[in-house]
Amino acid sequence: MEKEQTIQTEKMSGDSGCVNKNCWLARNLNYPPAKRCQYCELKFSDCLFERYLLISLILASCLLLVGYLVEKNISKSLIVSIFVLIITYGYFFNKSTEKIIVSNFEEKKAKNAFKELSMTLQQKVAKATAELQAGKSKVEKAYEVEKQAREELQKLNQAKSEFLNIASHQLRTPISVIKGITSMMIEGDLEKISPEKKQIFIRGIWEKSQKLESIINDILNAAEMTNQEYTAKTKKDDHFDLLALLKEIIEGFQPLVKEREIDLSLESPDESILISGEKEYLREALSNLIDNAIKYTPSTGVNRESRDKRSERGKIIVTMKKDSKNVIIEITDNGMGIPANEIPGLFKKFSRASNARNMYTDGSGLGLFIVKEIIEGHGGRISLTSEIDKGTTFHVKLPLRGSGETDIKKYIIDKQQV
Amino acid sequence: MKKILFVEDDPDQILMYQAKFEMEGLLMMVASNEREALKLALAEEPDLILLDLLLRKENGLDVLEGLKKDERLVKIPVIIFTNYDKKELRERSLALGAADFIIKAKVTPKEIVVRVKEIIGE
Repeated sequence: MEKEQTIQTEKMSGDSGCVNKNCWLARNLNYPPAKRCQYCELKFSDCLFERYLLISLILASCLLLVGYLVEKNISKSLIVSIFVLIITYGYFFNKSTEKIIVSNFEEKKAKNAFKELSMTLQQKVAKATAELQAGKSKVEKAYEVEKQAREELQKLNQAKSEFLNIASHQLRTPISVIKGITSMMIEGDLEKISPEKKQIFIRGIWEKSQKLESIINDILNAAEMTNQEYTAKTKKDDHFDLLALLKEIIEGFQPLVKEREIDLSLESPDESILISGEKEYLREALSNLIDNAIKYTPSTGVNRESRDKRSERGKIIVTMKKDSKNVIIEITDNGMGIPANEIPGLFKKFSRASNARNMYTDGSGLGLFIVKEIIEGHGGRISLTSEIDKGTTFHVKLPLRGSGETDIKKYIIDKQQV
Repeated sequence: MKKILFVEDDPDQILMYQAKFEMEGLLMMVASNEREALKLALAEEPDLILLDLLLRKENGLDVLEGLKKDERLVKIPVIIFTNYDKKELRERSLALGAADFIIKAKVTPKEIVVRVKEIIGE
């Protein structure tokens, strides 16, 4: 019962209420009409104060009675009784006060401990929340990274799928002609046509076979150059004469330009121009550029249809010059030109100018992409200028051997130096 | 003689199919772009149009759409004749009203002639 009283929580009701402290002791000393406190429900008979008073009164009364019976003197007995009453009550009061003080102290101690525990708990919760937040941010970042990687992969897959679709179309084009003409040969159809036409058909098989090989090479090169950025592999003292290579290439195109009645010429210094690099790759790049110029330059030849149907004679001029660090090659034609807004995208895979796409195209659409990769893989740069119906000039810059840069890879890192 | 309009810009293919179709008794007219194709179709009223799908600048399906929207040309059967083998293109072509979708590399000239004759009822 005492424990109940000492650990009683406060119940505030808005009026003076019950602040327990042994209930009637903390309130006024008027005895309540009801016998139980409405707040702490403490019974009057449970109240220490009343209990101690009751005990003291009973004791004093007994003493008074005994005193009277023994001494037959009520005033003496009364004094003694009062004295005993005071001592007894004082003793019990002191005891209860002690208990109250102790219980108050313990209550305060418990409250402080609770407060401390509560603060510690709050701190721990805050720390755990912060850790959780940090963890959540990490997870969100990781999710973003994963999402980006997934999107990148999707784009790559889409690009790969598109590449395969277009590549298969490009491969099927010459195949359909080879297959068609050979099936006609098998069926005896070529015996029904004139010898001249028959010759054209057979030549068609030959040309399409060559074109097929060229497209396959382009596709394989483009695929390799897509997988890893192409860098020319050279040994330390490896070099060759670029002028001699260019002369070889132009010589190789002479039969074709003669047939198409196009003038193809070279303007260059007389001395050798030495560069480091992979000769056969550069042969492919420069051949591609000259081949393009021939395709899109006016042809007045009778045997082959030109893509540019103007009447003026086609002209392609290849110039080569050098400065202290670089060799500069320009290939200029007087062909149909390229629309300005299409120039930036021209070096991408399967890109063709719209005015070229109007006409028959038998290439892979990868030529300029491969040319750019080869030139830049040699530490060089390629660009072009063009005007519709006037012509196009491709500008190629390649570093000279011994120009102060011994490592081709260095060019790849900082192309601005070239 | 039945007339076939071949919409194609590859000279080697034109030469080959023209020779074969003529050997099989079919007259072949050639158009190398959309404008020419619609012009010839209106002027000559071919019995069938053999249409290459990708003409670079114009998409072959634009030509098909144009043909099917024109009241005068809608009844002419169109065969999409291409080397671009993509499921979505096939489905879209047939949905737009093409009579067939044929991959060039998968057929010989004789086989395409047989299919054309089937469609025009020759």
